[in-house]
Amino acid sequence: MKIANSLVLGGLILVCAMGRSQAIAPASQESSAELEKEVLKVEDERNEAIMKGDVATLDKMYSDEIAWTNPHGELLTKSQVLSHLQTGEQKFFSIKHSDRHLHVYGNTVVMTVYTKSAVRYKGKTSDAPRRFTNVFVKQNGAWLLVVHSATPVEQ
Amino acid sequence: MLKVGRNVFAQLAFVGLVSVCSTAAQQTSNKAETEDQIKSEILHIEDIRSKAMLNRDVSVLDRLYANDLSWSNPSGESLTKAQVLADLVSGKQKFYTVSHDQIRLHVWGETVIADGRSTSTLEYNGKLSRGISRRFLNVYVKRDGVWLLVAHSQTVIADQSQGGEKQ
Repeated sequence: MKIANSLVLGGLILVCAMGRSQAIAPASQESSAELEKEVLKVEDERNEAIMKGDVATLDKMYSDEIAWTNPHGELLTKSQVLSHLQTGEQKFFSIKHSDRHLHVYGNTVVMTVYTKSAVRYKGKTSDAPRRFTNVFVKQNGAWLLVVHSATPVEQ
Repeated sequence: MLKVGRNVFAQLAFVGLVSVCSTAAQQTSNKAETEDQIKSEILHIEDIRSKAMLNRDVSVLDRLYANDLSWSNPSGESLTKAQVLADLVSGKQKFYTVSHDQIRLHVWGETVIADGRSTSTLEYNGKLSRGISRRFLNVYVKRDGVWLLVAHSQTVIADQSQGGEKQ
């Protein structure tokens, strides 16, 4: 009986160990090209939501701890960014992005973009060129925007 | 036989419960410890980077910066690693003081987001920038056990009286 007990206990330890090693293993083995494609799709959906003022979609895409710097150098929280869209303090009239570059680092993607999107912010409308950096991190199978930092491009 | 069987299942349940509890507790404790360690490592690297910029120590920066670095300067120019380092070597960019504060760190596994405010005094393209507050963003990624700066961007704070924090 002692042998049977030992066998069962041994099996249990083995099962626990296997579960642990699977939890530590990388969540994704997708190629960089596949990850880039996924992030570009998310970015397109984000732009569509921005144009529509679809705050519910953006709420799901933005991390609660997002680090957001707008072209005025203001540091905003997620709730501030979303409320600006909801109240109309910020309104987009067009999205014009170009020169998009993506770099994949495991489950993190850094994207840099040149934009001439037309936007109204605090009563002023502008399509002055800006460059922004977005950082996406994959968490529980979904891409979350954790950083947005925009800088005006001197003309 | 029945008694023995019950005994085995009781032992199994107990061992299983202990295993699950200890694993969960260990993972939580390890995560907090690791995050603090990572933040401390990044702050240390930021100090090394600041000193290297001030001393124009390009060989140190060469090791800290990823080859595919994404760099946006406060003028909105997109620069490569080679351009950033060459600007320091040629004197196109010179730092007179490096001053960073309001630093926040977010750890996302092997990615760390560091942002803060810079009031460094520097010269770029012959233009001196003194007493101007800028927001900066640094993204670090661990590659082969080494933290590398993979993205940097800076934005001049339009309303200098607010220091960049929206009221």
